[in-house]
Amino acid sequence: MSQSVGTPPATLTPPPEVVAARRRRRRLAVLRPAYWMPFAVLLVVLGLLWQLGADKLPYLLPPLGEVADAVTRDPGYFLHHAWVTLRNALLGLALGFVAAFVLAVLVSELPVVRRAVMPVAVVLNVTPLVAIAPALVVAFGFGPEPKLIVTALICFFPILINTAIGLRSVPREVLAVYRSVHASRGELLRHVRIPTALPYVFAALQIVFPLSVVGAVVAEMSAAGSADGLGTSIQVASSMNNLAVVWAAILVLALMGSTLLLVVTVLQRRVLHWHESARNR
Amino acid sequence: MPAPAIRVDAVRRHYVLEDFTELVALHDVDLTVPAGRFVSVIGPSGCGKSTLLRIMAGLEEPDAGTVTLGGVSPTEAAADKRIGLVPQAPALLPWLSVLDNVRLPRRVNRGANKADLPDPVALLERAGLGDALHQLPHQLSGGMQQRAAIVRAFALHPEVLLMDEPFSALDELTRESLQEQLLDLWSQLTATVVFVTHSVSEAVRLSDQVVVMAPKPGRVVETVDIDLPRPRTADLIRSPEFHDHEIVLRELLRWSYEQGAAR
Repeated sequence: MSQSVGTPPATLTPPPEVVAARRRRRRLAVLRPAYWMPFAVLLVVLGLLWQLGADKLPYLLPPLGEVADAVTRDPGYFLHHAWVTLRNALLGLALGFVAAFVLAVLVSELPVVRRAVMPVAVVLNVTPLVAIAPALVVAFGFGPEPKLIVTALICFFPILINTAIGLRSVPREVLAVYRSVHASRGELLRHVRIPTALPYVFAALQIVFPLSVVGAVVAEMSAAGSADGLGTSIQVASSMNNLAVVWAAILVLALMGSTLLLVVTVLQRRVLHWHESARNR
Repeated sequence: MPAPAIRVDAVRRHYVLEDFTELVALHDVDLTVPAGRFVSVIGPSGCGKSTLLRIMAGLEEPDAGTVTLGGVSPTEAAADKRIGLVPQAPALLPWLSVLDNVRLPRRVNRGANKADLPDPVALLERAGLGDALHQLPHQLSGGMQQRAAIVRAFALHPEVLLMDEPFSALDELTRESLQEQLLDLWSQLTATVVFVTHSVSEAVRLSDQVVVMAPKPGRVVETVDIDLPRPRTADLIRSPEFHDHEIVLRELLRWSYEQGAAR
């Protein structure tokens, strides 16, 4: 049973220039036309359709040139309002995250808390936030408070549900191993349950980061007397029939949401490099 | 004669089913394992062998009867970190390296750690995982993952090692190499072992004693001593004595299998 003469070794190392070329090719994959062309073509088609529509129906859509003008004429205006909205969105998200995460831990550890809290959380979730927002404005005024609360509320439920499920998703055999060495509840939570829940938490964050912008804008729109925020800009500009500014603000919001999603996705790939979601790409 | 490390006395375990009737998972099970012995529990599925192991590990309470490990209850033994558990799946944490997976059970419930814990790196090297110390579990083959799970248990230097079909998901050759590894670690860090399996040759190869269980209701039907010398070399495994033991056990297993099929 000797090894035959022609058997190659198990791993082959090609010449360095071949390896380098392969590495370069993978890194530059996004730059290849096959990668970005479909999206670019769709973008151009949509732009052309838009211009065509704006030509025929000027009250429906502003020409793209005017939208661009609106931004370049006063970029400081958009920057300021975008910053206010972004700040409200992120602060509200942070608030909602902390509350939902802490509650998820309590819910998964204490059945009493679960039975008390979950029905309330479900009712809160099915109640339209657009309906609650004006009430909060009446209660808290035109400052940032109602915006933070609405954003926190809109982010709360997905984080609570996902985290609670994640914390309970530890495989039975893993639990058996750590119970057999009498790990305390706190140790189990810290070393096993919370890391197990991380993929679920990130799935929630992917939903909730863009949603936080929705929450902030809805609250801004409900507070008719607010001084700033893109939601306010949209309301003011639309009451003056200034479609170009309305659409410019909408585009800034879309950009903001996409950037937030990108940030979460990059963060997720870093943190969850050990998870299937990062490997099966 | 040393005091028994494990004593199972008239243990019963009933499960309440969907229709509120009861399934007798274990009926009056008695078992005594002297300290330092390697005992396998063998039987067809549904005979309660895994339930018995879970009760010994303190993961389940018996409905009647008592279990003691070194004179104390399984819960107390777990609190004292006298138990090493190797489940059917490796149960490694996917975000921790192999080494950190072996270390974590030692980091929890620290107060109960023994004074002379073995060096985890040396143990992993001895088990052939020296090159995989800093790899994540998903980078390892199934056999290497299960090896890490065995080292994780031995790294606690437990008095009692409870193993629940740890090799059942592995291919024949990997299985044999892991059996060797297990015996090697066991010879270095003596422990009383209860090893649940459904493989006759595995039971004969590893054990001093094999307990045969039958289902419906789950019970012990026979205890067979395996008086083959150690180390159990490749020559011994091919010997007629080894085969005789296998034949006896296979007959007993067939009988208990028919018990399950007949009812």
